[in-house]
Amino acid sequence: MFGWTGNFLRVDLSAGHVYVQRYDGNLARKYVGGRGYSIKILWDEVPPGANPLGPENRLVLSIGPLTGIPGPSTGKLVVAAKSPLTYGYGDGNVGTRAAVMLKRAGYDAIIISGISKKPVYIYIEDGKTEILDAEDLWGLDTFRTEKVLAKRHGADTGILSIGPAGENKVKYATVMSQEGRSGGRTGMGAVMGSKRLKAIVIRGTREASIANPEEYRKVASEAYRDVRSRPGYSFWRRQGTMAAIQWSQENSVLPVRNFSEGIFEEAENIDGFAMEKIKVGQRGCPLCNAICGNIVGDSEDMIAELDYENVALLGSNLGIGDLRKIATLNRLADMWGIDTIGLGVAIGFAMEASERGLIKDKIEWGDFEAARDLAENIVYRRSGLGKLLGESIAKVAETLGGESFAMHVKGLSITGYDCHAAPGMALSYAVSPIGAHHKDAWVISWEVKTDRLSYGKEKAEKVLELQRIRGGFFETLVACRLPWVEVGLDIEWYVKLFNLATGIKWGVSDHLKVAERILNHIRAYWVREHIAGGIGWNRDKDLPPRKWFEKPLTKGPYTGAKLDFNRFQGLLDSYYEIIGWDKRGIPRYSTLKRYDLLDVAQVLSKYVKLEP
Amino acid sequence: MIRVRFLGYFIEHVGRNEITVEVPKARVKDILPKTILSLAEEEAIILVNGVSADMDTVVMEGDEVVVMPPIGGG
Repeated sequence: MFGWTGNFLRVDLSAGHVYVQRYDGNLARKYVGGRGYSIKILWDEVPPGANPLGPENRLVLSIGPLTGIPGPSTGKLVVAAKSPLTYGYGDGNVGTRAAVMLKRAGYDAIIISGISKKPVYIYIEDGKTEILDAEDLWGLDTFRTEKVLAKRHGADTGILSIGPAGENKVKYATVMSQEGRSGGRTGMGAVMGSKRLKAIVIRGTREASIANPEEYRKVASEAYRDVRSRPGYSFWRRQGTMAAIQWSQENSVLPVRNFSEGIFEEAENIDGFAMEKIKVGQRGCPLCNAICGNIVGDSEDMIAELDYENVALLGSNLGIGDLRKIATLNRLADMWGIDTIGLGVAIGFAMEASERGLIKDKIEWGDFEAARDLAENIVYRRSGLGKLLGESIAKVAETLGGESFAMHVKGLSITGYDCHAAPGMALSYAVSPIGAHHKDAWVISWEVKTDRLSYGKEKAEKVLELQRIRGGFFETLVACRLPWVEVGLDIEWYVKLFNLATGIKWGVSDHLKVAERILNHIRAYWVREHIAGGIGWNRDKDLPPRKWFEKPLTKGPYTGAKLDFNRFQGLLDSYYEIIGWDKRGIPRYSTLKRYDLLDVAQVLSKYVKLEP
Repeated sequence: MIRVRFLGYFIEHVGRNEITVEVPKARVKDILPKTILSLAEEEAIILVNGVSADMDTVVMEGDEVVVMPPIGGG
């Protein structure tokens, strides 16, 4: 095999046992890598209905054929498990030296099962893997943990770790790397914490084996040059995703006060230009020449990283219009290892619950100190509100009430786009493979350019088209989608690089077929897990939050706009029809057959009758 | 006066954040600077008074046009 290593590293933390498993090219061709390997492993190995925080869950860290080989933004890995937040498929991607090192150490995935009796970390150096004591690291934040491990094993190692949020099993704890790279907002940090696994340290020294190395190097450097020559490149380097604050404000989609409005009166104080005034540097992922992490000084005289999502959710969504204070919240979230988006939605919910008198705690919009205190209480699961808000926002609303303003789909919090006047983006959240997230189909940029308020079939088609490219193609290679999304790099570059790395001759359509296979397999997983776990399955799981249907916008050019329930159901039907699912949102037998998933159909039909 | 504002990397292509145009009535594409015209025709998102529009939308005295690239937020 070229491009792939053909090896999975398996670690059983209950038994303290490690071994290497060879796998064959058929699996590689069928699932490619990253998210593809993750769903295959979770489907096959995690018993239906298993407790996500129990020993049977698998934590899968996987890369793809392009990962770690120099090429535009190929320094990422996928971290996946059954999600403790949604009880469905969970994953996230993170840019980290650990991705590069994993390839160089000779593995395409690490599959971790069991629960260790005491805190440990995994140290991998090429063919040697050790499970080492982490008693001294337990309790440390992710920045400190990484410093200690880098000192112990070398600053050139790749390190992934969890902070107190993961240790305390906050349901939206993440896996962190390099003081700001974060992945797995579906609670992958909580899964890692449940296994008492504090960190993974990887050193790899081998050259990746690729089919046509000379040509690969040539094409990769041309692709890097193309990234730099794109018209938006220089501005992207200035502001990165922070340019989207102004963009979202102009388009009335910036989340404001728990997704009540799309326009923030203090947007100018938190946008990309405000950020440039306090910017002191940039950070990014390995192998990327379009790095986008903006480093700024925060309100506690530390340095912090700012990106669109964390400013939207911890800023305008909380009514906080001071960028340095937002930076502080973001830095703390990274140190604690908690999802900034989930945290913003949790605190936003608390602020609205306080305003409505649903809780006794006084937490007012824009109150940075209250938000900071609450964040700390959530991370350390301190009694009362903090402890409760460490659960999914769906669970919080079940307990406290407030379902009409709980901003989530399937338990995963909404990310940074208000959808009162964007039905296509609402669909994207509704049918995302992990619960509400934009990474699979950031359709809103296209949507505002078309008939924005339409519920036409073209929107369902566009969502699926983007899901295949963003959620399938890039998540299996594994490479970052941003050079394509943000600076317009043609995806043909990646197809060429894939062929040169693997020696396989595929076109875009071959990759998109894999992508649809994975989308269907992931949907089958959701249905199986929710039925086997006793939660049940119905199409209401694919609905966006009630607030967007019930409470219209009151500001700006789209005043009065809200989603129409019946028309949204029609849009959902269109999506189901195009992808080949029935009216319940369950893949049809014929669809699973089309994607060579008959084995999946057989298992799924034990739980639910499949339509032909 | 018609105010035209630019967002994202369009600012760098125009050389400024905004321009004003003194015409009573025109199509959006007729009042954009030449330096941005072909890029805008290819990919710009156009808003007129905050509402989705396009290059052929007719704007009048007092209107505000925003011209932005299809940037992402991730």
